[in-house]
Amino acid sequence: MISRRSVVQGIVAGGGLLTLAPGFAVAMTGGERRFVFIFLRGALDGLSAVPAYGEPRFKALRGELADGNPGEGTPFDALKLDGMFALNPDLPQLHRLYGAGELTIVHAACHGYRERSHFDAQDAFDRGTTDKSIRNGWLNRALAYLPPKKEGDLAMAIGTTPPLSMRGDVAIASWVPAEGDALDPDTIGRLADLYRPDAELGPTFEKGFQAEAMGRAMGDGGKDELTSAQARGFIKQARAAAGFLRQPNGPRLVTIDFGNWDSHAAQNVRFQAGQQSSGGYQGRFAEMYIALDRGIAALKEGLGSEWNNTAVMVITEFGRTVRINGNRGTDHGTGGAAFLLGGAVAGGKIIADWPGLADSQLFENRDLRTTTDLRALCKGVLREHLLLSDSSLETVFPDSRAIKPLEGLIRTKA
Amino acid sequence: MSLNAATATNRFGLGARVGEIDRAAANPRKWLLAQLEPSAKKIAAFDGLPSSTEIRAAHWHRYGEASPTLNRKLEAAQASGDAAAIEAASKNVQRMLGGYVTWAAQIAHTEFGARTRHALATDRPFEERLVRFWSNHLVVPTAKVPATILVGAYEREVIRPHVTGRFSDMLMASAKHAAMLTFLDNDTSVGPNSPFGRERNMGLNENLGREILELHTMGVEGGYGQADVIALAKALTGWSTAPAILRANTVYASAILLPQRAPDGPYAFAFYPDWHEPGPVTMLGKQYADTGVRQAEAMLIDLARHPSTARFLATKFARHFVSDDPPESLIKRLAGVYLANDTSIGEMARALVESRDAWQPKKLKLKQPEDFVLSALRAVNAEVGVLQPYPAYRFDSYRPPRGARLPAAAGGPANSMDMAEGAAAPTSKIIEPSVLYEELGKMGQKPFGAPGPQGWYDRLSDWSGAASIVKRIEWSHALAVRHAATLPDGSLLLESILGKSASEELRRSVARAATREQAVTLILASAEFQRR
Repeated sequence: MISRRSVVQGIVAGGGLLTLAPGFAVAMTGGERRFVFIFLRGALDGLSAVPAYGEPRFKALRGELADGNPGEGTPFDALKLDGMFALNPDLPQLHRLYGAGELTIVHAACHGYRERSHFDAQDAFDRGTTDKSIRNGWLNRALAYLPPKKEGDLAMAIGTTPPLSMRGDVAIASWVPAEGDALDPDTIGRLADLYRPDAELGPTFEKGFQAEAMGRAMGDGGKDELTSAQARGFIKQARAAAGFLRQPNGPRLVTIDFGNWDSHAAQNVRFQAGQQSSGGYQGRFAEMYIALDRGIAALKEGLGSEWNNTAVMVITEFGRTVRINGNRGTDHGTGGAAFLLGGAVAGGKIIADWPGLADSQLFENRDLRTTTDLRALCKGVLREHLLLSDSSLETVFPDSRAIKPLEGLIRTKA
Repeated sequence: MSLNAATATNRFGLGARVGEIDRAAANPRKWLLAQLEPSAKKIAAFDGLPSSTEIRAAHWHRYGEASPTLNRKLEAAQASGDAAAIEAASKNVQRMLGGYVTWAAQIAHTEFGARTRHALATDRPFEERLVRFWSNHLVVPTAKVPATILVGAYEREVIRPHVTGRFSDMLMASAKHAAMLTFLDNDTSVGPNSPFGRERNMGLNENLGREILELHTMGVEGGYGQADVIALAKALTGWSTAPAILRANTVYASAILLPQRAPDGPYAFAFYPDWHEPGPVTMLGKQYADTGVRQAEAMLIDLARHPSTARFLATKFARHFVSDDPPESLIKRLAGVYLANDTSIGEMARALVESRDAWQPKKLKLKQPEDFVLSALRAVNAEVGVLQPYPAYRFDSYRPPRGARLPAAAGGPANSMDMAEGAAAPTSKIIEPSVLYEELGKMGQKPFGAPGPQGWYDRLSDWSGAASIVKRIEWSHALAVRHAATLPDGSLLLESILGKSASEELRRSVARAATREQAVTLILASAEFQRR
């Protein structure tokens, strides 16, 4: 009797266990599975990303932030998903993915943390628990259940500093675009000797120069009219992520942090191409949506045929207040929206046990109530896409036995 | 003893310049404590930099004059239907906006350059570290232009004067500074039941109230709740700036400065009584009567004196200088000194220097990128160029100075217009502030660019990402190539900047280097030099 764990290892390593696990045959022939985790830091306004336009009180509560309803014919028309939900008009690519059955939306979702501090909430999500004594991340703990690659690291954090979710015992790579003259190999060798005795910086050094060499081989490309460096940076990083994920020796799991979503003010302004974003105000948040949308498109394009083996999860630390504040923005809230997309995703659906928007239905009479714990989404993806066992899910997310993994997230092709 | 001298310059200072370890060697503790005494010396690097009110006057010119005027002209052109006139008028609007963003970036670069030149020249590097620590604690980053243009002035006006004084004074100055008020949206937070709130249907913005409790004083586990956040946010309504800009391109008539409302002068802090939420509030079980501006003042003083605040500050302070997880005994001692001396952070710094824990020989902390860069520049005696103090210019006729390099840095204001091409001769030994600014961004620490109101994180694992370490090493190499010819022999240089703290391995490696350039690269890029 072969254990599930060893089957998993066989599949991910591309080894010869195929015949022992016929149910996973497709995963094998399609190559190794890819997972991209995008954290929108600063708290995405879930009701602006995925407006619940079918809710009778929606327009009254959201005021100027309620985009036009689907089909009204205004330039702000949200993109219809069903009779209840729509997508922000600046997310056309995501809308297309939904239509193609490659996007699942989870709404009224948050993780276990119920206060409204960005930093605490992000840390709680990254740790996978509100228990602060745990200092490694959920993705790193999940990596421990996947067999290491023969060459190179299994996972890579894009950005100068790996997020807490990726920190822990399993070594990971990290990368930012390289520039300038390369150091000569002799000096690198001498430095390697000096770094080796340093318990923390030694391993970092080795990895850094491996990724650097890989990144240099890949190059860059692409321009757009977005004015925010952060928005442009995300598209660039998404394109780079696709490049790494396609490399034979590249990572199979990549994280990207996309920050600056904290929309306390002027959330109602549309982005206009060619107009300077003055002071990060004019259309700044619309620009963020556009960048998210184009970044996802760049990822899909860059992955080519590997798109079919890829799942991308896009989450944020919490939602924002249902009512708008005094500055046409929204303050820190609770329930929000998350996305799961990719060629491997069984999409075209919205997972939402909709709590309603009546005063008494709101959390503390201000936020969208949470009806889905995002750990259920994460667990479902780890189980169905990365094939983690139920018992390992409990290590990845401690004290979460009551939170059942969502099912039917990933395609099981016959 | 001379190991302590190396520790004093490296762990508490900005990294030794040649000769500094010798100066500290007689009594390293005394060398540090002397820097806590006030100095009457003016900071030369800050000569000619405008105050926050001067900068805001120029900022106001864009909102109050240039923008409405040019927009009106555009509307008139559109009404006339004359295509050429429309194009000309919209070009003017574009130029004004482009110039505005460029101007903001130039301010950030100029301020960064001045601050860096001071850090390279100062003989009070410990004081400078304290400035940077507290600047990061009550941080205003370059997140949006109205705050971006003030980051340097904010540090000069709010942080520096109080860095060895009382935290309650610094906290108050911070909460009343236009930079903080605009960064955390309090300048437009209006009591919903105030006369102005009712008239305009305006409401509360709880951002500043929350961050004061969570990040500036008690800490997220300090023992406050959502009701306390709301109470403080209500008390802070009416704390704004003169004039207040309520929405982009719109100024409400009643928010325009009335002289009696702005005792600190135009363009400074202003309290608008008719925005203030009426009535008493209760925070942490204590009721505060509605005494106008004094309501929140009383709350801030109580918060500064709260034991949770003492513990939160002491932990961060010890973490910054000693280790990621500082000893409990040290935290308790620092917190006790803080409370016993009416929130004196100068006394807290003294207690740190006098503690035994702070002097352990092992280098447990990793320098953050900006501190690493400063220490390397100090080691090679590098010079950073002077940017002309930015002009109080007219937006409609603004042109950036010749040769200015104003690249879009991550998260900061981006601009593709009005940029001068070329510039920066790479052969010069003088380092352009704007180039250094960009380099720091690539190492993960854009100057004044903390990721949010929580400031930069401060653990080794926050800064030891492989990509960031690679950037540090590449940059060290480039610096070494540029400066090696003018530097002493590698082994001598090593001795004068790391002193007795240099390991045998590093000494050997530097002595065996193939070239002088390589020797300097090995020193600056070494893991030992990254630590303190």
